Amino acid sequence: MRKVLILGGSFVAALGTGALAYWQLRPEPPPPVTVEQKYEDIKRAEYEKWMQDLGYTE
Amino acid sequence: MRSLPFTLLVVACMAVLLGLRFGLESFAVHVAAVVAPAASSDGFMALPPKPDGAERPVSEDGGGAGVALLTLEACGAMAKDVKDVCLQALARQSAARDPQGALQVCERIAGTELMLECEADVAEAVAPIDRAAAERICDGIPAVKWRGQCHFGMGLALAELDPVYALGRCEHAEAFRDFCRHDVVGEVALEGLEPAVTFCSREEGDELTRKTCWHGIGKYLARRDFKEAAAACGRATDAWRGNCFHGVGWGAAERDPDATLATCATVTPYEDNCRQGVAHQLKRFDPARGVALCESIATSTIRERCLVFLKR
Repeated sequence: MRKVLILGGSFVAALGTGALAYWQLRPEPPPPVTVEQKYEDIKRAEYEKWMQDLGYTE
Repeated sequence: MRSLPFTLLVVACMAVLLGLRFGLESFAVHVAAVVAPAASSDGFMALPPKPDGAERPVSEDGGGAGVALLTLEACGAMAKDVKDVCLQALARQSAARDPQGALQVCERIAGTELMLECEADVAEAVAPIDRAAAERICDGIPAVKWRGQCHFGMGLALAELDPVYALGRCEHAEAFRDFCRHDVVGEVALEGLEPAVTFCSREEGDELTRKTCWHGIGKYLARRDFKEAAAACGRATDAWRGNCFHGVGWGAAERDPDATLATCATVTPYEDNCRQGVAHQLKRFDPARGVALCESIATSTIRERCLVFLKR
């Protein structure tokens, strides 16, 4: 019984260590979308109008 | 005591696991430090500024003193609303021979937008001399809009020297990507048509990206020679040839709308696309004439699009 507890505890500890390692080493989440990044999200139709106005397409 | 070997085994396993975990973390930090961008001065040699008394450019009117170069002192003495513009011009003036000094001048600009534009201008000026340094300047600009504009400017600056690299810069131009592709491929076409045609023939991206590529070739060549531009548009993909001739009409109309209209008649069956290009260009300076021109277009679909654009 004691050995089972030790083995089980070791297994849980190993899992916890692995989870902690992944949490700390995982890639950084993308930064929150800013007003400037939304500048890129102009809808394509509006983008085409913008290009038309400046003489870049018919 | 009877379970001592087992206990030791468990402890050893834990030690291995913990060592592995912290070792991986240290390795990741080390890798991140190795691939971090080099300091801005790496691999770059600034040309020294001209010493005092060096020959200055002479003004065209033959005036005695010639054109005075801008200085920090001169900009500092200007009125507040002009000072920033002066600093931007000063930075641009010295960017090619002393980019770090030029960037320091940019940092003196009070307005954020103008300061960021200044940095983009410095990168554009540096690009033909040291493209790696120019890239670092662009990548260091925090605002997405000006970072994109910076790479756009690099593309234009290098279109003649290295068309492939220049066109590749457009992938970093953020929101200006298609504008960049249009203008850079146009500049490339002026130097040699084949690389431009090869690039647009790849038919990359969506419909807008594809047709504006050919539009750039037509527009830029037409600014130089209508017939040359028309011949180039003959090589465009069938679906986008009309848009190419729109560019021809626009580009040629910048010099002479009347002559362009007369020449549009020679590019059958794309004369209406050409005339539409002229009409669109006229919207800026003579919208009434542009509307009248739209109404004279024979092809109904082109006429409708023309009028929608002129009247909005």
